[in-house]
Amino acid sequence: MQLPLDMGITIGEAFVMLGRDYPGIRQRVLDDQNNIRRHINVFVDGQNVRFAHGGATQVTHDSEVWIYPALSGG
Amino acid sequence: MKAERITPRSGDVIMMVGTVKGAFIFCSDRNRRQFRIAGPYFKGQAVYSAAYLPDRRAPRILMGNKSEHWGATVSWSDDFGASWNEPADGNIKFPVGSGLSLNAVWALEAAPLIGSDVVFAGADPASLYRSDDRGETFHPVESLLNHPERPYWLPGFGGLCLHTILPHPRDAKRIVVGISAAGVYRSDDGGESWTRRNQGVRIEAGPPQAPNFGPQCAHKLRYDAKNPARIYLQNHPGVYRSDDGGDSWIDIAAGLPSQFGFPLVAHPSRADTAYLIPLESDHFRVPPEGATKVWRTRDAGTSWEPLGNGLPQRDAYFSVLRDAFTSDSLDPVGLYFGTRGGQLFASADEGESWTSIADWLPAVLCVKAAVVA
Repeated sequence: MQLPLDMGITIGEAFVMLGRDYPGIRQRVLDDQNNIRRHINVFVDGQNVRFAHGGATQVTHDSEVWIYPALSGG
Repeated sequence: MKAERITPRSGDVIMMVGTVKGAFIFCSDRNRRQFRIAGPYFKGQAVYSAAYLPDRRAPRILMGNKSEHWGATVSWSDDFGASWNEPADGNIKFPVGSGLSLNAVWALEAAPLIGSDVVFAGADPASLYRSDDRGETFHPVESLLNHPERPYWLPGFGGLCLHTILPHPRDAKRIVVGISAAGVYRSDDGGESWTRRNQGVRIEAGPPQAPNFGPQCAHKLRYDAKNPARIYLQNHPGVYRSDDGGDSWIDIAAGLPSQFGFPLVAHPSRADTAYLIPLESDHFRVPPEGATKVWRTRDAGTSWEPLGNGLPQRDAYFSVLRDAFTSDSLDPVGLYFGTRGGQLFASADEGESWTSIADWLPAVLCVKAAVVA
């Protein structure tokens, strides 16, 4: 899906925007404090934001975002 | 979400079973000899809590489900599990800026004396939430969320959870809660303020001179059926009774094979009667000597008797978690418990005899039973 952005925003803000059109996605990716959930990995342009600026990582109009649930056991 | 369903009739017993990998609903007529099973619901998710809201026009089942990936919430079904409603943006959320984030919903408890649509939820991190619309939306009870003693509360192995909510059956202003590990707290003003009620409960996880709220670990507490000033408590170490609403506690563990255990059930209609499932010790959480027994008191803890007829009496090395033991409200009362080994046992005669009604479930987290209106 494509998200129209007039300016650079953070990935956390992008999920809040996305949640308006796709109810449920914000809650599933972000926790109560709008941090990316512990077992969710978000990649912006190939980089895991956990190792960048987390939810404050900048995205632009041509950024590519991937959401992956972490591998789990049990 | 669509799933298999049951179609109980008025007077049937339903049992809601939450496991680490989903939930099931069992159903039987009032004889409770044969149970049908429906589910699994919330496949792959842990279901920590469940409640049945007995409205004849629109009975509702609530469940506290948690995905390790996507978070926790309270979901509800108005058709006995045929379909489930999950709020798009969550319904139990900590205030932004609190630094807290929901781990799991440990308790769901209706409070009909306060209001016909009122439901409380207990959460990890330890907090109490109130719903005024039958569990669809919740708001935090700020007085407990911001309690000055919160910095002294300590998470146990299961987290820092508010696992027991006891709205008083006759006094709408009084609520008792159990928190691991903080102990028992009580409000006498409808949740405006909360006072620690651990007097007489021994501290075994800290120095005796420590304040008596840090290491206290109440596992489960229940009101006596006839006298709500009387409360039974299975503590982390120790079994206690209060006769003054929690103001003070006396040790009633004499006669039990162990002071350690998680669940506690009070008989729903018979005074002075409660049930425990003791485990060998804090360090070996299995039935003593591998023999499964439910222990019953009929004199408010003065004496205890073992009930094991039909339960495995050798090589049984499972544990039973604090919310995995419950009763229905029929006469004779039905008792039900699930194990971390995935077995589910039922008694239709007050615990005198037991049968296995499921053997291969995922580890059981909670069992709740209700008679359909």
